[in-house]
Amino acid sequence: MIEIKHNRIDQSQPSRMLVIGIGNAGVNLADRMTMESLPVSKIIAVNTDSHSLMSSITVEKVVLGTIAARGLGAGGDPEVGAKAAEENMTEIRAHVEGHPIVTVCAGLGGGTGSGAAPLIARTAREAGAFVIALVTLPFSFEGRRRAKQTEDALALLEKSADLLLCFENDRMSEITQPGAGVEDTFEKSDILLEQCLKSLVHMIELPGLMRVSLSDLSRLLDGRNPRCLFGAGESEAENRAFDAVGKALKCPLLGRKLLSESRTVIVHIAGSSDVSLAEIGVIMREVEKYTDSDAHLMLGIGLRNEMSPKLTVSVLGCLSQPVQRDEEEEATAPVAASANTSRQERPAQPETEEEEAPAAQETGGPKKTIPATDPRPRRAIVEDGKKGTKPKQEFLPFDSVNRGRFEKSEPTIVEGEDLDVPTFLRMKIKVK
Amino acid sequence: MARDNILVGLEIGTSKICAVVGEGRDDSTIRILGVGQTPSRGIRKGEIVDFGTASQCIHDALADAEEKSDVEIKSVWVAVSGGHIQSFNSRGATVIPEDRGEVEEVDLRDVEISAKEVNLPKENTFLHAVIQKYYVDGHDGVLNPLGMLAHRLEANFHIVHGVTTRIQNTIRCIKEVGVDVEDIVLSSLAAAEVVLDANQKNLGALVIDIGGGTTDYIVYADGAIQHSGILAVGGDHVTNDISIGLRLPITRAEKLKIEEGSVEIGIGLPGELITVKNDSGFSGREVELEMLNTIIHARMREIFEHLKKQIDPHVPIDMLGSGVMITGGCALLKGVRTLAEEIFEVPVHVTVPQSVTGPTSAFENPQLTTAIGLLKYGHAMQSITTSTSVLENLGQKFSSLFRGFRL
Repeated sequence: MIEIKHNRIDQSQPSRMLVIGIGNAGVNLADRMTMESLPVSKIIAVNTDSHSLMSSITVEKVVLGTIAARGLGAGGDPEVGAKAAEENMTEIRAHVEGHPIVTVCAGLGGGTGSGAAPLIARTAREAGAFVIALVTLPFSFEGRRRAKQTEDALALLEKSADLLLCFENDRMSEITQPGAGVEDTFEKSDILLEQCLKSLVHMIELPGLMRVSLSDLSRLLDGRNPRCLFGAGESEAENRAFDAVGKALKCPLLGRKLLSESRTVIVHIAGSSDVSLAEIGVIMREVEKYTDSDAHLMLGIGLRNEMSPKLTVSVLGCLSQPVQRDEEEEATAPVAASANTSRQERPAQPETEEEEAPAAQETGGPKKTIPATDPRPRRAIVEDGKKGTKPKQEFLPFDSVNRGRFEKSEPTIVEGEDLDVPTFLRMKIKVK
Repeated sequence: MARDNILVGLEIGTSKICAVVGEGRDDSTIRILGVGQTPSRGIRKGEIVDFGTASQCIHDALADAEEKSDVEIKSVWVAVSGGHIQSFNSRGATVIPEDRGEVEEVDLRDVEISAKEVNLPKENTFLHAVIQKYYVDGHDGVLNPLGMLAHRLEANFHIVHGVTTRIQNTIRCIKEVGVDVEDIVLSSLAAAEVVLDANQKNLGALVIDIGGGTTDYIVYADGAIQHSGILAVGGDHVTNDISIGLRLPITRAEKLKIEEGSVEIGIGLPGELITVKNDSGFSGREVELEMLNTIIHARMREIFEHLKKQIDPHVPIDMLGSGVMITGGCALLKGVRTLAEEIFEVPVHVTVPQSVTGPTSAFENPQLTTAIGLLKYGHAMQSITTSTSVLENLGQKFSSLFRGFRL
């Protein structure tokens, strides 16, 4: 089949993403990604503190500002961080060169992260890359000064990044048990961020029936607030579709209330070829519940080349309010203008025509014109999907358990046992 | 008759809703004036699932109580339960300012705030922070540190929290009826108020309230709560098991459980049969007594074993000097005591509310333990708040309570 051949071609493509971890938090995250072998082409750890870099397990490292910071860290001052970054900008540029997607990871609020990250993001953008910024915001108890520095850095990042994802450290408590240790908590949040980035990589790079291509993303985000909401969930349980989408919608990077304010929501489903149409339906219906009825819902399906029952759902919501980035940017960062105008040349569609837009966008794209893989408005796509992902006969779970009157209530599960099922049935006591 | 200290306890249970009207007396006893009950609908496992129906049932129960007690109900104390409620112990600490050196009210509040500085899941809210014991400059065993000289005050609290929206729903459902909510109380805490006296709390006791949809438990030792919890399994499950096992309609199964069932096995004659009478839509049948008891036994044994497993790591049950008290509707099941004694290996009592007066039929019923307990809890709370500055304290408590809910 032509389709399969097409998939293979795509599969062989190496990842095009470069990840840069900036500052202490960024380096920690880069370490975590190296450890989990995130499927990206390169991970670089960048810091002003040479000591922290020494203990990092990341292969590629760049010490910033050996003059400005003397390898001792930025001391919580973003100006030092920015100066240090400028010092080594050539080196950074050399790394960035040739990567169409650059992810900048940093913890904002401190010196290196807040100072260097916006500059590095700008450099990457000037080099023509699609820039994703994944940043953590400081705890509210870290004081007003750090909050102010965070705000400034965010404002800069909004101008220089295409996609900005924020994780508020204050929400860390949601992902751990009350009373969990600090180390455990930080590790969990690092893992969360790593998983989110992984799903984002999948979303952009996985071959599939319906791709959310980079051009789709950049067109959707163009001229808008780059600050996005992102949630990812993974499951291999029996009702994995429901489970995964539930997790994605509960992701702390995603505020449910805000998701309803998003004008455009991209839902990406990644799994092996056994993902059924019914599952896609479950996921889309669930997401629809939390989005505005007018919102533009885009669906992407990616296929992993492995035979695992794992299903990953990623939800990306673009906030509606457009920022006057273009004017501002031209005023404040004239260098970035060239990169920006090249973006503008792409066929920009008025918002009302967004439904048709992705199709027009994609057919103009460089690769593939096979109809079955052509992204189209959602409804059309689902029909295509019928041909692609063979509609599977759904198996009803064999209902050996009988919960009687508790059928419809929330199950009481203690130590893996559903206590609503009669005890004598579970203990296999014979009853006449 | 001047009835100014009227208290109303409302328990929204899975099988029935009951409202108890009582009069608080100065000697801290309660006189029951009337009890209103309705079978509840729209409630599963202690939580409201059908708002409208539940609201109607609450209305009926309150109306019934008003009629029986001849009192107009304005506000109620409400018991909450449900599988979402969790608890843990937390230690708080505060430093007494050098220039003062004496423990004051504000320090007690500070120490409570510091104990509450824990990561709750975002959707949860605090229900109770009950003091376990104070440490003054590292010495424990201080019951009331007010007025003591100290540098540092620490305290252990037992903290109970639950999902905000579910608690809010209960409150809204009651407000719908046009009645105010004085406060919400963990139902096992209310039950313990009326089942245990101070001496038993000191010696250590476990109170198990087996209701329709949930089994609530609370452990006291050294005069304070040590542990509490809720297992969302109760009498309804027993009925459901019988209904499935013997293939009977739910109503028949319930009746059979109450009239014929027993937790003990091996007490019936071999092959002894009981006749389930015919009814509209159900032709009568004979079931074997032993089978019925086996089903009940299996479920009750499982409940007790789960409780033992959950409580023992926190507080060894055999260290509890006053043993185990069982109350709630399921306490009426025959043979519950024997089974519980076998599992917990301590003396077990099936108890009814203590230290209340009024129509005996009202309080000598373990089904009403929680509702009557609410009265005692409310009465105790009132006397605390009147002894200090009433309005200030109460205002603060409620504003913080409702601030919490709005989140």
